[in-house]
Amino acid sequence: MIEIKNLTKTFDKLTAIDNLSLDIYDGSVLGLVGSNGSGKSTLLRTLAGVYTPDSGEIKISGVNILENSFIKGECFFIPDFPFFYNNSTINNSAFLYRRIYPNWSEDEFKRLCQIFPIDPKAKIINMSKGMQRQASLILALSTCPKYLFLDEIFDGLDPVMRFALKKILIENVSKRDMSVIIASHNLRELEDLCDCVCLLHLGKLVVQRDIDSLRTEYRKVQIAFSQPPLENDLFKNINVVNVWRNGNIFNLTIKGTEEDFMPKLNALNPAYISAMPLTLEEIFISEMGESGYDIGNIIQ
Amino acid sequence: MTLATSFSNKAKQIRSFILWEAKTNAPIMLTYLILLAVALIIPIILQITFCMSTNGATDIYLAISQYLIFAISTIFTLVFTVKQFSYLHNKRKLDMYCSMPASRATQLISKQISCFLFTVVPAVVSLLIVLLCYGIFNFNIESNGILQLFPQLIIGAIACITAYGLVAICCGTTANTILMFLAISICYPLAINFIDSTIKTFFYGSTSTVLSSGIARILLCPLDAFNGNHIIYWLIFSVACIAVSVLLIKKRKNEKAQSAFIFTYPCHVVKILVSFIGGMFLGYILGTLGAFDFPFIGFVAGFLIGSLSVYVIAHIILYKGIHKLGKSMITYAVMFAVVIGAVSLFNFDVFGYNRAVPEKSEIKSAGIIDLSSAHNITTKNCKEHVKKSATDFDDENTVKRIYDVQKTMASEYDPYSNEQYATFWEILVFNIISDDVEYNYNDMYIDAMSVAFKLDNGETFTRIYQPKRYYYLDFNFDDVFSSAKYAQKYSTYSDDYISKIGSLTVSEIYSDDIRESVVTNKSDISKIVKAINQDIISGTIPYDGTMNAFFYNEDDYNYDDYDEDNENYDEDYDDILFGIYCDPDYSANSDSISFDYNGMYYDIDKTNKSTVNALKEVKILNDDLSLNQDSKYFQHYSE
Repeated sequence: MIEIKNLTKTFDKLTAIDNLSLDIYDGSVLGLVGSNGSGKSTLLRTLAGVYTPDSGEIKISGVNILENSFIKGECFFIPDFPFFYNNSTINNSAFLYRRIYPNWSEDEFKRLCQIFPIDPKAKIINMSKGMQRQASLILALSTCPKYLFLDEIFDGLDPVMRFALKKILIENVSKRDMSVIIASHNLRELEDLCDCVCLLHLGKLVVQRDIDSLRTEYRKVQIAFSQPPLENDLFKNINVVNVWRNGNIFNLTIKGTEEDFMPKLNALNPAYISAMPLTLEEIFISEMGESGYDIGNIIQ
Repeated sequence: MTLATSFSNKAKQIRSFILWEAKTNAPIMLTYLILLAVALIIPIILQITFCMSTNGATDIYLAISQYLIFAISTIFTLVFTVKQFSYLHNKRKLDMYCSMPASRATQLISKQISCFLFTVVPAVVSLLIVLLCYGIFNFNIESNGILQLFPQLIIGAIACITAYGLVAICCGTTANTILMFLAISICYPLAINFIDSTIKTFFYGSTSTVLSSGIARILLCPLDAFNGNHIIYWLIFSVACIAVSVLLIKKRKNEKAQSAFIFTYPCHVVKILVSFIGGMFLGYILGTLGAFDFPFIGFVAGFLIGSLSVYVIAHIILYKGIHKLGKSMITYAVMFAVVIGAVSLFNFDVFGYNRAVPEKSEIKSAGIIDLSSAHNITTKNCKEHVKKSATDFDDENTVKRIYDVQKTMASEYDPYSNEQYATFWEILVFNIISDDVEYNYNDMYIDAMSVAFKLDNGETFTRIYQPKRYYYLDFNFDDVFSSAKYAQKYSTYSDDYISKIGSLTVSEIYSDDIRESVVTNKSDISKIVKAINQDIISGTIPYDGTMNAFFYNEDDYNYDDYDEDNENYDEDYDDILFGIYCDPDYSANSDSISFDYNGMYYDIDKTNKSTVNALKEVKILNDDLSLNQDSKYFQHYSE
């Protein structure tokens, strides 16, 4: 289990993570989403022991990760831009990792080399962005980590590889009880993979919820009236997060369950009404809008 | 058990990192090896092709190999070091290294060891191959020269790698690390030279060598370790660097090393060093020019302009802007106040050093040395000789004359004159060129004069004056300098000088063939030179005080010049039997006899009885004054 308590990380005058507390259970896949500069990558680096927290603490399996080789051997971090030396190959890198990481599996390494279509003797630096990601994944998963931290891992991967990656990750989670934390702006992919989502904004935790409850919490409602409604504050008793009007048709994003808001909407005598769940992306935009980070505020 | 396991784990990790680094650095190591191979092969090919039979040339080719290997190794040490420690400054490399299951200290040590191995092992192997090749081809090599490269390379690499590693931890960028490392390595010895020269300038006549010699000059200059001197110091220095590095790396915040870590401290050191040098340089220029008609004010203005501008520029370079400049100006202000305070105290002779004259009644004895013609006095032993000279003369007249010199010099000191500022440059240049090298005042053509007094209370009062200070004063000590007593202590036939003579060559002067005896036995050399000394004292070998006897530098020898110097030469010409050449640089292991500036040449005729007898005694001369061909020293070459 990963326990983050009151974590704060600053860079000169910028507070990248502000008093963040979070628990991540073993065998879960957590999606870290948030605006640019919300502290996702900083959080991952702090989790990986690259950065030192200014205050607060991080415990992985009950132990502080900083300068702890034993627990670091259980973790693997793939940053947004993984580093490779000019003449590094997968085989060459594996040479070090198999000596350094205690859980390195030669069988897993061979299996992954077969799954991902990369020449293990080729220079990684000459590969495309997506292939470099695949190379990192081969090496990372071969160490059989208990905790895997991935930063923008879907970046550059083609749809087939994205699918393969998700499959492999889920396989590892179910087989080995591996925990995965993925920071990404690709919410569509996270939606398929994560069982929990953590939304960050300006270094603060906006929301942490499992993805199913998050989906049921928000509804996208389209409501049409035969006559233009006369009331200005038509939806005053309903927790409407976002409204978009086109003539007599209203598109609403409502926070709450259908049982709560449908009777109230029906009471308005609409000509047509339909409710459906939101995508993660729509939830993200809605939540960020609540935090003051919406398109209306950005483009005045 | 836990400790043992932990240690073995760390050792395994270090080994793994080193092996991996070796694989990733293979191309650069290959380049290094190719260059080393070229450095080795070319001289060997030249040797085999042209010079197998010429023993003398062997050393030259060996020397070429040595210097090439040394230069290449030094450059690659720095290249490897910079490359290896760049992981501390590159965000992507940090992501990789710091997330790995190895402590930062383990990684740092593995980097240091790999740097050391990558640079030293190929060089050492190359040197061994050189020795082997020369052994296989049966070349006559003098192995000491090549063997001394080993400790030089090893200690230089250790000092540079550990020092650079420490600076790298303190800095946030590789550019800053390189700048700081070079700035400290270059500016520190220069700053010490400036301080030392300032002290010698204002403590006019001081014989202090505290800063100008020994370890003080190289304390923070790890590049100096490649000279192979002060090995113990560099080992302690390296261990200290590693210890501090290990402590700091644990506390280092990778993400803000540039702004929040210990970076500010080496930054202050570098800014102070470079601004000090800039300030002193401009200060002394304006002081020498007598700006504002008051050299001290000129110095202050120059120091302010020079140091402030350099300080600000250094800050902008290191901090990539003027961020935190205001706060760091406090350090500058302290430095400025200290320097100007010290120079003002010196300039106005607050300590009374420049005007000091011992009480005449308390003087027991005195001495004066013309350092420019004292063959046995070097930059290293000068202080000791000057101190000893205090007991040279105890007759009232000589003591009074020497006392008058000191009295005149003290009264001549003028704090409003630009003389001392002008003298500074002379002293600075001398300090720099004599850095860690033992120069003879005579060889360097450095005119300087020393006075020394032994006082009743047992203390010794000494001063050394540069010519700029006394040339215009009319001191005439020719009679003292040409006295036998003086000559015995400070000329080429002083015991000090005799002990340094490596060979003495007695040549028949006017022979078609080269017939000579080369004496290498120290006892025989001493016997002959002391006999020459006797002849000089008895007057059969003329001694005029300025030429320091009737001999001259071999390279300066010119019959025409000689005629001008000595009108009697033509008359004596036919009487000269032998030339005796004393060579202090002669090496017993050398295959050739070298003649250089240090050698002294004596012409010997029948009247030089002591010398002739000594030559007979060591069986170089026959009774008929011809060279003894049966002597073990005799050599004969046909032209």
